Amino acid sequence: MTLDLTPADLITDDWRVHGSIYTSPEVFAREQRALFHGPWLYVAHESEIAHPGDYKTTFAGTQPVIVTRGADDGEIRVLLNRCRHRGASVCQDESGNANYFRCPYHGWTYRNSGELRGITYDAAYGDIDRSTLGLIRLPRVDSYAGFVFASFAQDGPSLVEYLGNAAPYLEIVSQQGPQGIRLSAGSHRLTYNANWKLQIENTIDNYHFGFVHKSFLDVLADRIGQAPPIMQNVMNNPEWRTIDLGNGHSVHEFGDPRTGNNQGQLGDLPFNLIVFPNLCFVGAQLRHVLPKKADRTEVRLYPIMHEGVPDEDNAAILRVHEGFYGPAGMGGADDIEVAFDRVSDGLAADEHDWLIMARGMDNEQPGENGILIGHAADELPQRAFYRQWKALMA
Amino acid sequence: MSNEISELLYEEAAAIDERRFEDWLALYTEDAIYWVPQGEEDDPVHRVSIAYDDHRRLHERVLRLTSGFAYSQDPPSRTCHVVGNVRVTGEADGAIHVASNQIVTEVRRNVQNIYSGRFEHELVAADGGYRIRRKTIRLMNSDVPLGNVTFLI
Repeated sequence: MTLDLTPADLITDDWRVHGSIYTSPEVFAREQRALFHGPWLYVAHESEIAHPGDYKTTFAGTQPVIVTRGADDGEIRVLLNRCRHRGASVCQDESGNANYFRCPYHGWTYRNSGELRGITYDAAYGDIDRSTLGLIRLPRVDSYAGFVFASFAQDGPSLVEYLGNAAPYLEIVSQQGPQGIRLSAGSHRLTYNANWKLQIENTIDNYHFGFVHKSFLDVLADRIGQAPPIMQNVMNNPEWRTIDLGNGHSVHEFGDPRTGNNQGQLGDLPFNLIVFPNLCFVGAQLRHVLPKKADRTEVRLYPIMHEGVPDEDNAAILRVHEGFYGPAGMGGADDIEVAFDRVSDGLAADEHDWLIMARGMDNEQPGENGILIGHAADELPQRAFYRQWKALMA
Repeated sequence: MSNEISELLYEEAAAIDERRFEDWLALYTEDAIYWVPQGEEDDPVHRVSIAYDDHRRLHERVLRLTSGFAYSQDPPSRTCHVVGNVRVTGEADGAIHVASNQIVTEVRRNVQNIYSGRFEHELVAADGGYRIRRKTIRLMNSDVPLGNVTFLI
């Protein structure tokens, strides 16, 4: 469809949100420029590339990238996974260790720093300047509390400035184990045919839990012999709250941000956290949401393993994670069904194409450092996301 | 190989396909493990699995599938298992190890998915027959992004 609304019109002051933000290829293309081509993007946890020469492949927005740790200097770089010659991807594996990446098409070879090392039969290129033909490198890479971010923008706020009020929460995540954390257990990989933002919204939506996850709550009741207290806490516990952290980031705290408990046997992170635009923490996992098309998304769920604990403790984290999350989990699949697939079905009825994200909009309480605090079941985190979305898309 | 062994695999497949989930669960021992590894992984202690269920969780899956509120199974998946290449691969710890190749056709919400893989059963003698002490399902597509595999495989 041709969009006759500007991005500024797509979200109204009374928090009506236009359905085309989920369905329009034009909006999607604009997002890739506005949201994924300037702000800091999560790409890796340092534990995934712990040793010189280690690499992982992932995506910065829709762009395939290789995150490498320099074989010589230990520096972390983020490189476009695309040969400068004729465009073939140069690295196929999800992770590994390599000093060089060799393009299989015509044999051009790059150091894992990205520098072009060799052109095969190079005489025919004359005086070509190899120093300008390395793998394209994202100009800025930085880490915070072990989480590696990169930006396509040469200039802009530092990572710490960008993370802002979200930074202390990342530190808490990084301290989940007595000696820190590692992403060493692999990841669940999910896919669904709907927009990536639906996954972000759903990750920090407490309002839905008693409805979409009724079957899981019934399972929990059978497991513990009584009704689990999740929804009572969501609705009535003043220490469970949602916070707009600024810059699009948001959190849902289950009480104290260091010791909170979701009461749902969903994993032991003390909060759900969104780091704008596509990094989430929920349950016991780091969740990386990868937009593919307006109506296609891949999600990678990385269980967070604790450093300094016995193997069986980490195995227990995996078992809890698998119980709810992943393609066979007893909760996450219901989110895909209801919050993504059925929403996608419904959005086809675009004769009246407005959604409502106003829950609690008149009860946002200002806190320190510019934060806004809301009720646990308010749509405040979604508004936090879309405030930033609207500012960047305008 | 005794008929009893292949018959048990056929009965398990039929119980799933005919949605006789209590009958299905009764085929498992109380200490059973139902494991769907992801990719080539062989280490459920250190690596995440698609499912690594003990009997308690299998009971919970059945509870959920029959609750009427498991939206990812509303409408339910229709499945059809084909069990082939059944062979006994060994005997250890009082269990007979059986390998099979299975193809599971699944239809849901107007989409047909084909899953296939190498299945491993550990069977122990019980009640004059056999019960399943461990089932490992090595799906061919376990390392590609998946949608909804909340049905019994």
